[in-house]
Amino acid sequence: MEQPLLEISGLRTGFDTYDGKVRAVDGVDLTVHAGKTLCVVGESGCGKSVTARSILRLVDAPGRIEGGKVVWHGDDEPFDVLSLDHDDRRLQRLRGGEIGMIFQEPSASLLQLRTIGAQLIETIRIHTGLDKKAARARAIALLDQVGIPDPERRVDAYPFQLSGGMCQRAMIAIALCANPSLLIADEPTTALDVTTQARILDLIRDLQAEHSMAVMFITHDLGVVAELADEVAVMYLGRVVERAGVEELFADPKHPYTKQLLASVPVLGRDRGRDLPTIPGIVPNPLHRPRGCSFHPRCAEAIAGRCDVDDPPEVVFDDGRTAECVLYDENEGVRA
Amino acid sequence: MTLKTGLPDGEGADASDAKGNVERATASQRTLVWWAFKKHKLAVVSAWILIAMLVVIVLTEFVAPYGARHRDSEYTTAPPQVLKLWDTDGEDGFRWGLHVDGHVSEQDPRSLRITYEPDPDDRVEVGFFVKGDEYRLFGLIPWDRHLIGPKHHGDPMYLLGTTTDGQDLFSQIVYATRVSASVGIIGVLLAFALGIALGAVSGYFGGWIDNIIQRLIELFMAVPSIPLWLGIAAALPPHMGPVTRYFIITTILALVAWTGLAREVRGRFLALRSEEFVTSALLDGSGHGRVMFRHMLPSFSSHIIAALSLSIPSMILAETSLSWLGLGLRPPAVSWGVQLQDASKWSVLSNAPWLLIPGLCVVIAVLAFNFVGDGLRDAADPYKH
Amino acid sequence: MIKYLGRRAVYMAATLMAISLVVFIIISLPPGDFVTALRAKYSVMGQGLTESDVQALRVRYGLDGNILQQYWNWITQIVLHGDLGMSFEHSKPVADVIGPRLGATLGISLITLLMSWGIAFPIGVYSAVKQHSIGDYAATTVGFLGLAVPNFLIALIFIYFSVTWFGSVPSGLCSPEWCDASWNLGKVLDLLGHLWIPMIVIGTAGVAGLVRIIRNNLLDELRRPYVTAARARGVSEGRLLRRYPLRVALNPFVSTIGWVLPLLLVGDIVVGQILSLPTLGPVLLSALKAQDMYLAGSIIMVLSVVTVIGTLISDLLLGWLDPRIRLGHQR
Repeated sequence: MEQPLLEISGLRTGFDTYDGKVRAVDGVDLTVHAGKTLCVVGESGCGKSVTARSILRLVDAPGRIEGGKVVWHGDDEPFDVLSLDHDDRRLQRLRGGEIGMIFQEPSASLLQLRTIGAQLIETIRIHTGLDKKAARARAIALLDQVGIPDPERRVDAYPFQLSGGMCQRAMIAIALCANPSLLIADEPTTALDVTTQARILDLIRDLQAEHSMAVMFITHDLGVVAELADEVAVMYLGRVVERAGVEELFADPKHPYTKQLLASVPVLGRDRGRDLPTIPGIVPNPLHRPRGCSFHPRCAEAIAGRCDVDDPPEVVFDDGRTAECVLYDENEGVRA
Repeated sequence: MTLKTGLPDGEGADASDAKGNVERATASQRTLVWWAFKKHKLAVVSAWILIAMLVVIVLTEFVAPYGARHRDSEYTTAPPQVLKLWDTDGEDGFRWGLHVDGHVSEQDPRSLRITYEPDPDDRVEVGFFVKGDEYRLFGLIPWDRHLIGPKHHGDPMYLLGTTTDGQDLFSQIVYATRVSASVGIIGVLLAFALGIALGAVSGYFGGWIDNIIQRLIELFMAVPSIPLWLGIAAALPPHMGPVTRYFIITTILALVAWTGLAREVRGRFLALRSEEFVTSALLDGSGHGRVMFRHMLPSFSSHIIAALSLSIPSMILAETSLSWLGLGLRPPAVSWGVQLQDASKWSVLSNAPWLLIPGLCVVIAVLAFNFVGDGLRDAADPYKH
Repeated sequence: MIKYLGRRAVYMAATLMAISLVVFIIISLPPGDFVTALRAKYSVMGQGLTESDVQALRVRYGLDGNILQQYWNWITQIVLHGDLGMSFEHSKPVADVIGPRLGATLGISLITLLMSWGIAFPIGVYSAVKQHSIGDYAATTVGFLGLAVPNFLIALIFIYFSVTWFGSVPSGLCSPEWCDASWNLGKVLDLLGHLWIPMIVIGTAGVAGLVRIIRNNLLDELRRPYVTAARARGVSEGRLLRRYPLRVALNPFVSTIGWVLPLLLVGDIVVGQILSLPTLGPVLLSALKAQDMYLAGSIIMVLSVVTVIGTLISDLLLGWLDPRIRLGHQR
């Protein structure tokens, strides 16, 4: 198998709120392989963004990473990111150096009061040690590379002078400045219009090929998953419920949640003039998580007396894909 | 192609409040605000203080042990007397009974300064609901009972000491509370009337009306307010009745404070104007006035109450400072600021620190209004943390 | 930027107009005018003024004609000749009364303003960065109290302790032995020794308000996505704070000049009164009480102009600090 680049195991991140503890991420295992694209997909509030932020330890109070491991294999010696000291140089190098990250709202992720050049050059200098002049030349080259026209002039532009798409390109340039081996993209196209979305996705794909980096792509958009992913992890209420290669997942979804997700995607031609199937019910409040499998209240195939009582087992299939569901306990899979 | 998305993703804390359990989901807006408010401990304590203050404002004469004009020329600038539950130095040793010790006074022949010593033998019996100075409750019902006071009418019982005129400080503070607190409340209501009228029109209609009103407000805000109200207050004719003066001072303070409230109201109306319930109300044939004050205003009443509560402190502080400087209310009207004039001379103050107690009332009142306002403001958005 | 500056300048002019109108109304509010007062004064001294004398005086002081003409006379005198009118109480031109004291007032206010910023900024930043720490709670509590205690009460409390501990109240801006001395280190030290008292009394409310503003703004900014984004690209914590959220939180801080300045000037009225400082405060107060309206109105006018200029300066600073304003993108 491929070389693992990043291995997340048993990650738990919680938020202390007035009404009690919200377990936003509750025991997530994920692996990103070098040069590959992992898409993490799920509804809002399923914990996918918190998972992404936990990797670089970017969870703000009242949130707290409570347990698990995030092992980075990109160095000569693998190490657990979560056990590093705050001022460990390896953490500093990881952030923005080995791992680049882009966010949902590009213009809010840039400081409005400084030029994009200033913010880009700052990051270049932190990670490369170039002098000001060289860093500026590199900044212009990077802006050119991410498709910002007239980079010599735009380098001195303020974020509010650029469109959302241009800001996201600038963010990508910042993320790429130290040739990272992993790019974490946290819903980078959600806030953009459809044509801009497509262009940004193209850009990410091109850059990935060019730099041979891995991408961890957080999204709620199955179309994006189909377009980008090598592997897919489906999250529901803080847990990964299914993990598979992209073709296998779309051809043969195992978990009932994945099935219903796929069924709710409109298909050109087929769905004309009829209502789209939706998943019944709403995502439960993470404060009052249902007993047993947290999907059972909305699941069409739930088994009374079983799904609402016991935690579902993680079933590993022959080809390495997994699903957290009782349906496959006996016949198809091997119990993990 | 996208899944059903309700909330910005990624914040676990947000998700927790979006879809509550059944009880939470079915609670009314008012209940939710109340629940959120209760979590703010300081705000709850402050709310009780404000309620107590309200009681004092309504039942002033009953709460005060002495009448407004009571003056004891034998006890000028006397220190506070400690309220005791029992004493051990009577003839038969220990005995129960609420009382205070009387004072023996001594006048220094040279400096003419009077000093007081508590006299344990001079026992002043104290009781609740005692007969005292006559008054009219609510200005109507003649009565002579007082919440607390000396059992024998005319005995000295000065729990917080006396003023330089020999008036009971505690009673005076009670009377001053009615004046000072009501200046704040009435002033804010006046400012609010002005602010809501102009702010609502400005935010609801928008366009050139909004533009004109906003420029006007900006102009008002740019004019430094404090020197101006000093000037206006000073320009008032000196021989004005206390009641007229009270209302004019309150109006001046309101004229200074309305701009902030107007902006708050305008912002809310502006934000709500495009909401569907407003459109549907209009389509149903409701008039503009009805839509504004029956549909839109109630939807942010908690915000308004919070803004009102937060505006009162500056009014109280302004009245207090103005009166202390001798430009606001004047004796015989009594407010906290007027009372503190008594403490201005350092020769007096150094021997009678209790004269600063009205200042403590100012601080407590200001803090209480602030905390209640803060608590309400935070609670007004029960869905937001 | 030029458009922005132009707009600010127009606002300033309009504000000054409005202020002059209100001040004039204040001046003309009490019954009788300067000539009436003069007439009363002369008749006390046994020198009656004839009706024609009165009329002549009215013309001389620009008090004839209707209220609009009077306003016109008054304002043109100020703008063209710097003539603020006559002080009835001091029997000399208002400008001569105000002039010598203006320097001390502005000096104390400016020093207090700078000190307030110097103290409030680090406390506010600390309080926000270490939210929920003991230091934060202490700062917040003191801040709440500072805003709730009227400054004259602070002065009274200060006097009480000063008298009980030292037996007297330090007053004035300098000790007798230094007052007439020429400037040297000793005099500066003596001045500083006297200055800290009025500064505490005048500055407390300002500091409390500023701490609150900087803390709340910084707390807001610390939660913004750009902070997480900057952290994600490896910007170190100290640099992150300085270059990102602090940079943004500085803006509302700068725009506080407009309200801190009048606060300081009023504080001066209180302190000047209690500590007998050679500032405008006590003069304004006695003029107000005596209804010496030309003097009072002029002082109010001067203080307002100072505030308006302060606001303009803060607007300029904002334009310089914030590219969005400079490039005409917002506001």
